[in-house]
Amino acid sequence: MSAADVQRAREAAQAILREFGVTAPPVPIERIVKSRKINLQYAPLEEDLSGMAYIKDGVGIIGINALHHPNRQRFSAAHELAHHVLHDEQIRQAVHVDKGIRVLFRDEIASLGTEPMEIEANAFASELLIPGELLAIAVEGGGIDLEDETGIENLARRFRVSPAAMRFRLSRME
Amino acid sequence: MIKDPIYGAFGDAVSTRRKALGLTQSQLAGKVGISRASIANIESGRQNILLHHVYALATALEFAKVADLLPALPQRQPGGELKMTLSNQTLSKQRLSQSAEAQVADLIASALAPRRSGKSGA
Repeated sequence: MSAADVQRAREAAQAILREFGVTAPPVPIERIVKSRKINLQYAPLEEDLSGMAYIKDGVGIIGINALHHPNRQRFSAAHELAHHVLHDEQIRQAVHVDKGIRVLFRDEIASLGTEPMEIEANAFASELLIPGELLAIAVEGGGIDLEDETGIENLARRFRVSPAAMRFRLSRME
Repeated sequence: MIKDPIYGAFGDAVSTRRKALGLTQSQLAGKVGISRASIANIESGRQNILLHHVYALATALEFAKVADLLPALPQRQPGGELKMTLSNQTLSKQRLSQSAEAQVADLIASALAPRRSGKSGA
């Protein structure tokens, strides 16, 4: 198993943002997915499943758990898009089902049990939904206190992501 | 009453979504116009739900379409020929449950179903 290439994942997300000319949050994730001719489906799945990615005879499919909060669904969609962009070889061979992406946010230790393709997909999704440049503008270059719950929630709302996803992104802000 | 697993699966879907939206059982009951006890019974799969309540629940739970609240039948033959892998499977040694495989297979079938022409009634 090769190491995760987080840099490549972030660059792939940035290329898509440039292609779409995204200048303000929220990033139109559904439109981005559909523009790539990927069939986007929503269905009620077991609570701990967030989504799936698969390519069947050249037809790209992304499935999202319709039961989750809409902002969490956006992160799942971006995470599954990452598998299509970065891991198309793997998702042609088998249906790739994603379980508990959320767990990864809780703490760094959780990432020890995370495989490289999931680390890459999370980095891609984080960069795509919360682009570095737009985040810098949103915090006015001043950064934000990670203990400031209200501040993080307000930022999360602007980008239409969960507060957990925003915290994850802020902890990796350079 | 014959216990059909679909009621349990439906109850789980209602409960998961309600919590994702941060609603209490009482708040949901108020929006649907039924008692909190009924919501509790529906969520635990102990109540045969009426069709108009299914629609009212889908609206109260902010779904774009009622089908988003209807899980695939758990007893349906899962997967078939589909090979499925779970994220972090090598490290976690976890496998997908049969009902989860059925849900994923159902979703893929919907994605691959031939598109209708868009004309209603055809």
